Amino acid sequence: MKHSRNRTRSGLHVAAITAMIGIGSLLAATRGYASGAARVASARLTDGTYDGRREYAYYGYVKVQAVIKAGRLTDVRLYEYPNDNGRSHYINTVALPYLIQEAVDAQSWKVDLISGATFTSNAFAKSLQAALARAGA
Amino acid sequence: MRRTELIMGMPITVVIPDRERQDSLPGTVKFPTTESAALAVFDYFRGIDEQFSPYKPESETCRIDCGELAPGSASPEMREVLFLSEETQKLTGGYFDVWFQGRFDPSGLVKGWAITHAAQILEDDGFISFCIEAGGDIEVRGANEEAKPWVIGLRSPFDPEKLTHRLLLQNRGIATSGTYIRGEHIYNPRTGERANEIASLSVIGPNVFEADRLATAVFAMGASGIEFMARLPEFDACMIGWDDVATFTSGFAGHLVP
Repeated sequence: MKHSRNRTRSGLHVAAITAMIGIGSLLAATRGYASGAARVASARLTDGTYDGRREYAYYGYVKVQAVIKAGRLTDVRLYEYPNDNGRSHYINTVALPYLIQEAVDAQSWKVDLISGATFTSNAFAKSLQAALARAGA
Repeated sequence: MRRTELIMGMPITVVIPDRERQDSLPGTVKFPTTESAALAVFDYFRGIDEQFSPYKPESETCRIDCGELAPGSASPEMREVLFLSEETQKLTGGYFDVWFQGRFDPSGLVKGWAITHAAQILEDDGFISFCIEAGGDIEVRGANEEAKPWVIGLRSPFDPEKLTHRLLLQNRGIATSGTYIRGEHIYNPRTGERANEIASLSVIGPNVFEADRLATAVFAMGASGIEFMARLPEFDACMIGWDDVATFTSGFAGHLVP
């Protein structure tokens, strides 16, 4: 997983990218891509069916098959469930990890408030207040 | 109406949609305007700071820490926090502990607890729609200014100016634990080591108290924490690893802005 970013750039491991897309919530995750959280689906893809490598996905190993039609990811098939570690039943309630390729500037998304880890610096707090003001504008 | 004040070393923001009154209650109301309601919330947080701050020698937290005050003789509020701390410790299999290396610090629980109590102050006065945010943890009630679900952004653990996701929330609490600003400030009480296996963990729960206490404890579990969250029916969570990889519990994606 450490080098997943490089793999996505190479374009040779499309299925490895898709290994990170939640299977249980594939449609919802794809909506996330469309809204700009990540733009894997917008990359130029060559039509075909691609097998992924066996990848460690935090809670086990998975292997997927990605189907690309008309340059777009149209299907992801999970054909090796992580059933070799006795914890595979959790996969039904945890979506598979996916790569956040592109975070979005705070001011370019209209939000009411922002959730994030705690900070203490006043300077940072002021900077954030400005960001919040922009976000709420 | 939107107000932000710096209290307890962090910005606290109250947002209340400008409506005449959001609910009709019999009798008189304490806060005739949204502004006066927000000021009451800020006053409440200032009181909490005096009582629970680990940096103020006169606070109950410091007096318990140095042994000057027996926990059993503490205020009802502190005893409630102590009770909830113990409960959280059991709930998370020891991953949450207000006593770390002999020092007493209930901060991991007080913030969410205080936000939820502050929400009660507004609710008791007839407000049904508002948001209260303290240091990135948020209680979300009712609907926003446009009478739609509140839109909450998730800050990227790698860049405070960026967001990774947008969520629609109604009558829920959300809390995020991470390591990027304060340094690695969450410890695994079981090992005494810094918990830094993952970059951030955001938890959506029935209220911000429940979300916050779980976010703090489950963050310390590292990468396996997301599995723990997946087993809790009332909660959804998003974990972000140092490699930019996000993992959701299955319900989390349902909150994403389409």
